[in-house]
Amino acid sequence: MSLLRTFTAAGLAAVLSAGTAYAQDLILNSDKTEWNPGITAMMDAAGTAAGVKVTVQDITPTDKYQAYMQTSIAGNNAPAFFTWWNGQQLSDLVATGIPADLSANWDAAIANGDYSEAQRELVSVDGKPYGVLLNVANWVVFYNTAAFEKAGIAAPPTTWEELMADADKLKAAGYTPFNGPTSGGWMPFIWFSQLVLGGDPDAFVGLTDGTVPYDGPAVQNAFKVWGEMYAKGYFTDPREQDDQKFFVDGTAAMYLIGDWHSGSFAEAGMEPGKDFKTFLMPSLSPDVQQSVIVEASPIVVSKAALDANPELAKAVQSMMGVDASNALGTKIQVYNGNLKAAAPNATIQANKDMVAAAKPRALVRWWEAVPSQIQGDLVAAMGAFMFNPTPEQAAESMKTMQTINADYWASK
Amino acid sequence: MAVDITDKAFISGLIAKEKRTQRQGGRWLVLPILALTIAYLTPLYYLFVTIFKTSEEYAKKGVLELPDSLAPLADNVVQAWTIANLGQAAMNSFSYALVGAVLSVSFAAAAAYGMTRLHLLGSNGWFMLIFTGTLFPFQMYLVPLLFGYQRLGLVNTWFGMLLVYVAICIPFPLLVLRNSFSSITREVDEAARIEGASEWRVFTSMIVPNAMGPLIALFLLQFTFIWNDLLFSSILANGIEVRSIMVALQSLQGTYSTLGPNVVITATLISSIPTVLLFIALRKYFMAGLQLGTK
Amino acid sequence: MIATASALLSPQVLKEARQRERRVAWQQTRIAWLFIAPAVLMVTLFLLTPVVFNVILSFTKWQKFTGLDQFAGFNNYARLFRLPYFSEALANTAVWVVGAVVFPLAVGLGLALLLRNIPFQETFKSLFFLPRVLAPTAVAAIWYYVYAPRGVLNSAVSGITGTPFDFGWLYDPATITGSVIVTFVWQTVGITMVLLLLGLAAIPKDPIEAARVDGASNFQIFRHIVWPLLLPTVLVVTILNVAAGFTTFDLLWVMATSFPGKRTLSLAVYMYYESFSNGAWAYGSAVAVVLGAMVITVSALLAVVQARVSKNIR
Repeated sequence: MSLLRTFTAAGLAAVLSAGTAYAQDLILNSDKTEWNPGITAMMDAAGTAAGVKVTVQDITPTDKYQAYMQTSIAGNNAPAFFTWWNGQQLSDLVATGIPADLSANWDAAIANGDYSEAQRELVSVDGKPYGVLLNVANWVVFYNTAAFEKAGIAAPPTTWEELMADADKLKAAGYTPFNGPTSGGWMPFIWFSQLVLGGDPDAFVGLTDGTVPYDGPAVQNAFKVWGEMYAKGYFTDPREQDDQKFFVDGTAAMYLIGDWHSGSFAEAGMEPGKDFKTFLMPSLSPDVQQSVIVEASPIVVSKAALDANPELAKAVQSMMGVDASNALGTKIQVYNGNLKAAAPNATIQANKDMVAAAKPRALVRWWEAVPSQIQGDLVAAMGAFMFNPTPEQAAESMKTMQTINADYWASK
Repeated sequence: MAVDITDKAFISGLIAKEKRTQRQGGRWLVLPILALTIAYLTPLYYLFVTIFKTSEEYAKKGVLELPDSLAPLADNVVQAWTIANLGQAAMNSFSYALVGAVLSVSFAAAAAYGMTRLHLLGSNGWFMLIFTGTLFPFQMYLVPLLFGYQRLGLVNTWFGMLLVYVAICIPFPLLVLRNSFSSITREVDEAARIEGASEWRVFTSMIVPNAMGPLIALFLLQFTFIWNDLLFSSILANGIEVRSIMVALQSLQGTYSTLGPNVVITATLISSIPTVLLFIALRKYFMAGLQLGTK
Repeated sequence: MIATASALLSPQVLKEARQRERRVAWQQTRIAWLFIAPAVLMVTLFLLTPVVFNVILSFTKWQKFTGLDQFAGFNNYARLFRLPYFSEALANTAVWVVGAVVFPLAVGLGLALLLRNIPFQETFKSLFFLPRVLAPTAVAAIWYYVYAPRGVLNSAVSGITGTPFDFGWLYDPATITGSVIVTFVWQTVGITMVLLLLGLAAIPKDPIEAARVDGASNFQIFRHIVWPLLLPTVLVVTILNVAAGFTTFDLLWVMATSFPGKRTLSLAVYMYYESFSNGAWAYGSAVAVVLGAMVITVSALLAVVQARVSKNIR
């Protein structure tokens, strides 16, 4: 029996040395490491209202975060709060019954003038809202004002022809016209989706619901334009892993990205509205309606956590208040759409005004709209083209994407 | 040609001739080996010049150029240590490796004792059961382990991670120890038993001391295996408080890609220190351990 | 002696003795259970149970959050060959297995034969062994920068040729697998060489001497005497490296971090992506089962060959 005792002792010792238990009040999981200070500030403000402490735990990169959350949810072990995506990603999540219906909170927020009905739709599935907005961003083209000046471009382009002409001028002035990053496991979709929606917004929507193939005319045209732009040397080296490096160091003159990125340009020493400004990406031809991608990232609240502690509803309410929004904006210059909150910087305000004036068609980002099981595989094929922008690779990538896409929708 | 192999003079002449040709051959061979060695050591040379460079210096200079001064090392270490929480990760990995290797080798030794020194019904069957654990690629464990761990609340816990390491590290030591224990003569424990020693006593004071060599070698191998693990920790415990040093190292290269290579390279060096030290201190056992793997 | 002894004992005494013996045996078995229990429990719970579940999962429709309770038959296995990436990953894995076996062995054998007869043998041996002591993740991080566009290799090339050179070794599907295999060889050749040196040292000198006296060339001696005697060691090294080739993960995962097609670089990486990034749990499990079946089949074949060879030598 002394044997058994020894083994037990060994086991106990192991348990005790593990003793630094990681018991915490409540957890918010996120893959947005760079936003951690902002989210923490927002949750501190909100948590105090409900008397709980919320700790932000980051898991990066994005694909690992998705894996972690998928197994957490499958294992019925979801945290109280977590960042998610809207669109198809949110519908999938709602089907699990994990997220709480936040209708009451949204009703109060809208009554209070914090948000609009349209914003509620951004995080709704079948008419019910399931998230608090963390980020509402317009996708625009950032441009380096010094580069435009040096290349003799007086006003930002309003048509595709002007954009291409400006790109030639920038090239002649020694700049690479566009920053074309491939990092993070998702960035290759940026130009792919832009060129599809710029040519045919309906086809873009059809790509994400299985009605339009990835080797059809809309995609073929996108790859053709993309390849021509690469051939003319319009894009930066795809091997760079720091996505904003070429824009910040002045190599690239333009960067198509969500305006949540303006904070990190500012962090790197570029002043919003002065060193860089923005314009709306024109469509490929004047007879195609201009579109803008609106990205909305929700924070989802677990139904189980809300049921266990009804006080949490207060925290959720204050997450939607103007103070939480300002805490976020001040800390990391990310705007969560609160109508009473000030835009965190001049660029974000300018983008709001531009969109209000031009009234482009608002589209859900490809990443949120596409089924997440095939997201990564499709991005890989787009990335392969960026490293080898030839017609042969384009054909190869289209074939690969369509095989994966068709298989997915057939198995539905 | 008839050779008289009992002729001493003939034999010694042959040996001298052999040695001459060897030495000549040897001199010729040194050059290509030297060239190969230099190419072989270049990455290590790169490692040692890079840890003394600042990020700006790295960007400006040729990658193989010597650094301006030795001072930047301290800053690189501090950056590597703090940015990816490398300190915490090193502590985690050290405790996983130490506790995991001790427990797994102990469990394997106990099992080997039970199988070789005691009357055990179906001893071979038990052995085959555990040995099966060496056959499957790790990829077959991952999804079920992650799912089961989520259910049990063991994901992202120190204890849960340890359990997997211990289990993974049992089958191989058992295979080796079963052989070493069998080769210890039976009289040793028979005598002790007649004197009334308990099995536990026989095991700890007769068998274990007689197999110290393989036990230390196995401990080293398993310690190194756990310390080096990236795969299991990246899936089962990648939270910042419990993740292993290899996951931290990898995140340094992935997430914080804006960091200069000088910091990442410094982190690779830090992450190798314990295993390198163990190797130097216990080289004899390490080499013996390698041969264990081949029998 | 025995006959005399049993003649002295009555059947009754004998029976009691046998019973006592059985009792002791039973008692020992119970103690033995305690000794093997921790190992058996740990291995069964954490290794064998997951393997069984992995096989079961591969027949379900589990993806993302749902389908764990739905039976898919062989659907996941049928999809393996319908989807483009699996075949690519399979082909790359085949390249890995061949590369991981042939190159360390060829280079290691060359080094072992060269190092046998030169001064400072121990120093060279230690130097070549050094990379083995570093963790694969660390090795991969270092070599990531060796192959970087502005890295060590390109600097060396442009230094020698005098023209700027910034080829992306780890960004081109044509060079990435080979480049990572070179890193693998860099790390494993030391241990392969040490094992082969041990094998060489164990070969008796007499037959070699005799052959040399008879005028045999070095190649003939190697071909007909050294190689057959070295074969068991070669096979052991092969078995170790075959398994490594099939399942290499750390090196690829870290070195290919910025390569868009990294998911197809090996079955191990592909399985990781399908399961942990796409949430295709059942499909990823099917990939793992295929990988497991291949590893076990090839290892078993090699074990049979090894048994034959060692029997022939004895």
